Amino acid sequence: MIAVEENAFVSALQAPNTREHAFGELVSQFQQPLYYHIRRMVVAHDDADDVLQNTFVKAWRGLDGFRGDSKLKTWLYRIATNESITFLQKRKRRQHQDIDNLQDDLRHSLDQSPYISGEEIQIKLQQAVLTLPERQRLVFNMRYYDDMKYDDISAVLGVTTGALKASYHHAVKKVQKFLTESTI
Amino acid sequence: MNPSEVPHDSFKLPQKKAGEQGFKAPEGYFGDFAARLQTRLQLEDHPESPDPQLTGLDRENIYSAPDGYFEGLHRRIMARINGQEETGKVRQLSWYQRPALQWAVAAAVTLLVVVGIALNGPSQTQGFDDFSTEELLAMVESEQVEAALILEVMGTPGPEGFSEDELGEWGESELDLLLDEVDLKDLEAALLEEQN
Repeated sequence: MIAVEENAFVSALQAPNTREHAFGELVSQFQQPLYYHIRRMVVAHDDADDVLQNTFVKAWRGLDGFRGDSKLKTWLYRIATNESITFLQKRKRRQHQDIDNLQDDLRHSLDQSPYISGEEIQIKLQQAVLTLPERQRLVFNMRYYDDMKYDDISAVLGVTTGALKASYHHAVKKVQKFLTESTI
Repeated sequence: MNPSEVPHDSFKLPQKKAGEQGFKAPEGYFGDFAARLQTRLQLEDHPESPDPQLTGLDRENIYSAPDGYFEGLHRRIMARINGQEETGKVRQLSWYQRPALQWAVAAAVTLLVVVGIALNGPSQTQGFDDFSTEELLAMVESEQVEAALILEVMGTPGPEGFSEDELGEWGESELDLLLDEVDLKDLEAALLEEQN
């Protein structure tokens, strides 16, 4: 979205008489990228639906506070990312899981959940990605699947691009190692 | 004198010994040069090819949503927002949500913790093996562990991949992200080595 257009759109989102209509546009524009961003973190559709709805509810409540310091997309991705991490942490606490249990659980969901299909190598790639720590998984997903630039990921996660590049580089190496070992 | 008129035997360069270049590279420099160059190239920002190491794979999305899921999403979200705003107006707090009781519970828990510590005594002195990620992070924050050391333990891209200015900008978020990468035992070993 061009900056001028985005400013006008933000004004429409913040004006009481146009807010609901503009919010509908916002949902329509970002629901799919955010859904898949969240889905790659929480795996099951029902969980992704919960987190996505929470994300948009939080965005609605935060509209007045949005000052335009970041782009709308960055702002929404940040909310979705925080909501996804909060969801996974709650799940860990609720089920008294440690990180390894949670990763096993997510990989199990990958085998069992509906609305997942693809070539065997793509499922394996996803299994490999699920072995990464949460934050690194976010970096990998945003870079690899969402094709986001490091500057944009940096704005979402609040981490310098140098650290992101190092983290992504290691993520790719780990994913490659997993794929190599699982095909031997 | 015109340079072209200088006799050929007037200027003679010192005899060069076989294999001598005039400069020396550190030992082993060329051994891993190709690997280091490849690492650096992979770290460059190439939007059109974000992952040279995974180029053999298509970026296929294996996830899908139920039919019609996105068509009704906005309506469901608005229903939830309106429902919450509506119930929020007349919301009655349950007994366990009332502030006075929450303070009482918090005070009771604090008392239990204090009594527990008093009865069990202070924890024993920790060795490096006992440090958790959080404790290591605390050490990082107190500058006991430098970003450069973490990068060194990670092996790549190595501290030389970042300028001092860039490393100076790194805070908790960066170190937290990269600590996920580090084998804590390796970091502990490196810390011990630094201290000695």
